[in-house]
Amino acid sequence: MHEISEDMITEAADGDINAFEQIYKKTSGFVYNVALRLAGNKHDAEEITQDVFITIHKKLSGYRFESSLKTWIYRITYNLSINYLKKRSKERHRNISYDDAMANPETNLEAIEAKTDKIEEDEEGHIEKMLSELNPDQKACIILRSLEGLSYREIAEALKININTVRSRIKRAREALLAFRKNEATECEA
Amino acid sequence: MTCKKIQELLLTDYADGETNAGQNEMIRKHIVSCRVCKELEAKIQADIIRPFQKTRRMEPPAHLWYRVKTTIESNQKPPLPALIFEKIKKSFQIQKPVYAFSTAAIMLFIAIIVTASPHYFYKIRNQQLANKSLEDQINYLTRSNGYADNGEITALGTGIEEYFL
Repeated sequence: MHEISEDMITEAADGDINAFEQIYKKTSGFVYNVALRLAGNKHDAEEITQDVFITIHKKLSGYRFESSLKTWIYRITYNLSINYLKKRSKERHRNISYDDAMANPETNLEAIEAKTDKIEEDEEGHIEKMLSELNPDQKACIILRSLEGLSYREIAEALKININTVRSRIKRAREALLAFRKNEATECEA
Repeated sequence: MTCKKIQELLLTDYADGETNAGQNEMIRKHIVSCRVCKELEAKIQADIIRPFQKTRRMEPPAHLWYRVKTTIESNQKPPLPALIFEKIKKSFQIQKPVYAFSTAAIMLFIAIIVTASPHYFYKIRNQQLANKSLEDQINYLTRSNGYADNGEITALGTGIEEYFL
């Protein structure tokens, strides 16, 4: 992430929309990518990114420079992504019963998204499949470490958890990924 | 270090560059002599570390900033009717500190009235009684000294004088 000066943050917090646009330009890339990996499709990633920046704009005057802006933004992104995904999951369960979805595949939003909106291409699709094997906490740790390159300490700060919890989540996630790859290889051989 | 501990580090700190130079040296030495850990290390790198390094980053769509900006601006400026309603509502509201202060002042005033008024009432009542008593005493003395209400002398005042006269 490019450096963002304290002056720029203060100006944005005071309501300067141009300063806020600069912050958006410097940080929207990683917010969008984290949201995209957590949500698994572009539509939800856009919604989450929009929510993240509206929240940042609201809360920026309360930002106290205690943690880095990057960590603070990762924390907001993670929290809003998890909330968004929980809400979406509840809505889907309410709107589409299992029987309906099976009887009429066109009403299955997952299927529609898979056709139109999922992250394309083989390699990307493969990463997507691997991430779908993990629970949200493990997924967040793997995304922040393996895709965003955060250190264990930065992940711990961003998710507000102990560094050893980060370590154990990454360990379990990678064990699950290894098992998934092994199953894949077995299926291919068969 | 046991194979279990080495494998734990291979999955986490070693794969992510979080180990120190001493730990790295120890792990490398172990891998050279342990086939199981060596295979695991190769598998971790090939199956779950490198694929993530190859992923390309996506750029957020250009229209997203305009959506964010529009939402922020619409949040900042409420519609005119809402603005007027808000102003009217505010004019009827008493700010909390003012409300607390005025309540405290009223309570204090009531407390003073309740504690001070009996004292004041009895003071006046005592004064009235004292005045009346003084008046009665004067009346009594004037009568017993031989003065009529109109001030005329009716007696000389003592029994001895009456006897000699």
